[in-house]
Parts: sequence; C-alpha cells; structure tokens
Amino acid sequence: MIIADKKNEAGLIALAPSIKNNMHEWQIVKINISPKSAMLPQAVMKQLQTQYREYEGMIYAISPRKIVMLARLGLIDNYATMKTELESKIPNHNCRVLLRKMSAIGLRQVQIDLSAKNNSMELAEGLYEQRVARKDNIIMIADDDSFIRKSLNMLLSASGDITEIDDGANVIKSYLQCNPDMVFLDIHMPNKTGLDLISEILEVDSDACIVMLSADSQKDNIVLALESGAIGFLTKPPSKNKIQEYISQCLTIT
Amino acid sequence: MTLDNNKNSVVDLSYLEEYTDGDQEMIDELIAAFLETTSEGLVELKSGIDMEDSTVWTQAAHKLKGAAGYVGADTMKTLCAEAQAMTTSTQEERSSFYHKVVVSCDTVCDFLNGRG
Repeated sequence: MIIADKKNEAGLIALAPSIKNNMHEWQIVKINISPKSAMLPQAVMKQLQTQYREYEGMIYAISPRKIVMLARLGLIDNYATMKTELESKIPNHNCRVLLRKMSAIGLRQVQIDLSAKNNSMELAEGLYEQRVARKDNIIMIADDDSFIRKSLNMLLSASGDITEIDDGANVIKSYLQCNPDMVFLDIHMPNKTGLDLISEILEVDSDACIVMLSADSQKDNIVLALESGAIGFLTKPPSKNKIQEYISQCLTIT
Repeated sequence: MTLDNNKNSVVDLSYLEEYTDGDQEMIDELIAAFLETTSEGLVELKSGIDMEDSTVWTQAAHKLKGAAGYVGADTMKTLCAEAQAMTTSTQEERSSFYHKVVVSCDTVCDFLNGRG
C-alpha cells in the first residue's frame, strides 16, 4: 500500500494492470473527514497504510477532508461488514466511509482525480464546502410516488428543507441546483432508475450522501446499491429509526 | 379512534403510529394520501390491462404494493406483489386479476374511511 500525492498519476499507472485484470477483487474506499474533526488526512492515511500494508493499493488525499484508498481486498461477500471493519481501523474516527466495488467508471474517476488537468474534484469539493458553510440543511426526496414523498417529507422536514423530484430524468439537474446534504432515492422511477442515478450523482459529487428506497428488498438490489456508493438502503415502508440513523451519518446535516 | 392492530384485521396501523409517534393529525393526513394514491393506482392498473406491454400494469401494482405496506394491508400487499410479478401475462389474465385487486383495495379503503 503506497501513499500518493494529489495529481500524481505514476502510482495509478503502476497498479492499473492489476486493477484491470482483477477488477472484482479491487475496491474504492472514500473517507470524508468531518468538518468538526481535528484529524489530519495525513494521520488517517498513515493509519490506513499501516493497517493495509499487506495489500496492493494506494491512498491519496484529494482535499483536506477527503481521502481515497484503492485496495485489492479480495472478493467481498458482505460490504456492510467490510465497511464496519474499515471504520474500526481508524481509531477515534470522525469520518464517513464509503466502500464501493471497483468498476470501469470508478477507475476512470480515480484517473480524473489524479490527472494534472483535473478540475472536477474542485467542483465536487465546492459543492461539499457549500453544504458545510450554509446554515440550512437540504434533503432531496426522489420518488415518483406522491404518497411516499409525502410520508418522507413529514418526517424529514424536521431535519431540513425538502426538495421533491418525481422523475429520474430530473434528478441530476435538481441535484446541482439545490446541492442537497442527503438524497433519498427510489429505485423505480420513470426515465431513469435510482440504481443508475447513484453513479451519475457520484460523478458530479463524490461526497454525495445517498440512501436508496425501494419496496423491492431483493438482496441483489441492496448489494448493487451499496456497491455503487449508496450509504444505505431503506425498504418501504421505512423504519423511522433507520431513517434517523442515516441522517445522523450525514456529516453536513447539523 | 380505535386502531385495530389485530393480525386478522384488514389493516394494521401500528407502523403509522410508530412512524408518526402517534400524532393523530399526521396519521389522518397519511391515510388521506393513501386513499388518494390507491385511487390513482387503480386507474393506472386498469389502463395497463389492455396494453400490449405490461410496464404500466407492473408499475401501478408496484405503487399500490408500496402504499399497502404503510397501512399494514397485508392481503392487498400480497395481491399487488402478485400483480407486479405478472410481467408476461395476457390481457385476459390481467383483467381477471384486476378485479381481485379492486376488491382488496376497496375493502382496505372502506375500512379506513369508516374508522373515524
């Protein structure tokens, strides 16, 4: 496990053949350090490097509060358990850890992150900074069912202003307009599914805090949502406690 | 108002009670939204009967199934799940099944309308 500098592609070039040939054994771990945390990214990177010294991979910081680790952790059966294990490797952590399966899109994002010409992460960082700086919280509910939107709105309006979307085709545009702290995203929506939208949202904002919603709680959907980068999955009707638990995981909701 | 949370009841409002912390106004509002969604969902389901493609039918059934879960209408939820699974059904099969769904939805809606 190596630590790379920001905008340094050399480390990635060395790892690229292994990643491309064994993509199913590779993962992307994103760690967002809470604005309230006194931890420095260098300290977190050192801890991770020590904990995962036996593994192939690289760690880099793309901002004072955001770290990415590419690691060949092998085949993972349960991403939720692995995420908990990762969090336990960062003592006294005040971070949000996102664990995703490596994919061609994910690898491309890493290449963009490390590219000297890159400016997309400044865009994402800008969105995150805006969320941290503003006083009000904004929560997006994307579901084509007005009943579900209403029921969630009732509960979530205590935590922030609500933006409701009923069509998958409008999610990205609305996301960039309102820059929500958190998105509750339905799987089955007209024109674009929630599962497709996870990657699209994360492409414009890798710090996005997405919780999937569905009445279909098949294991495949849950695994795919979590592997794609959602922080959680709620089966309809969702438990109030579970919703509140996810809200508490969002670093920018105050 | 008495909430009938018996397992054999048409509905089980214990979920809504927990979700709203027992706030009666919120429960009433959600039940009103449920009745509206169910009415809309049945119209969509009916329109999906005669279509060659079953997409409208399955989407409407999915929507009704989701709403049924909120009010603990298990029979309605089960029937809607079966309807949602009818992806390769014929128009005749959908038409026949539609009537079962309507009866189930009407039973739930009548119960909720008369619970006052």
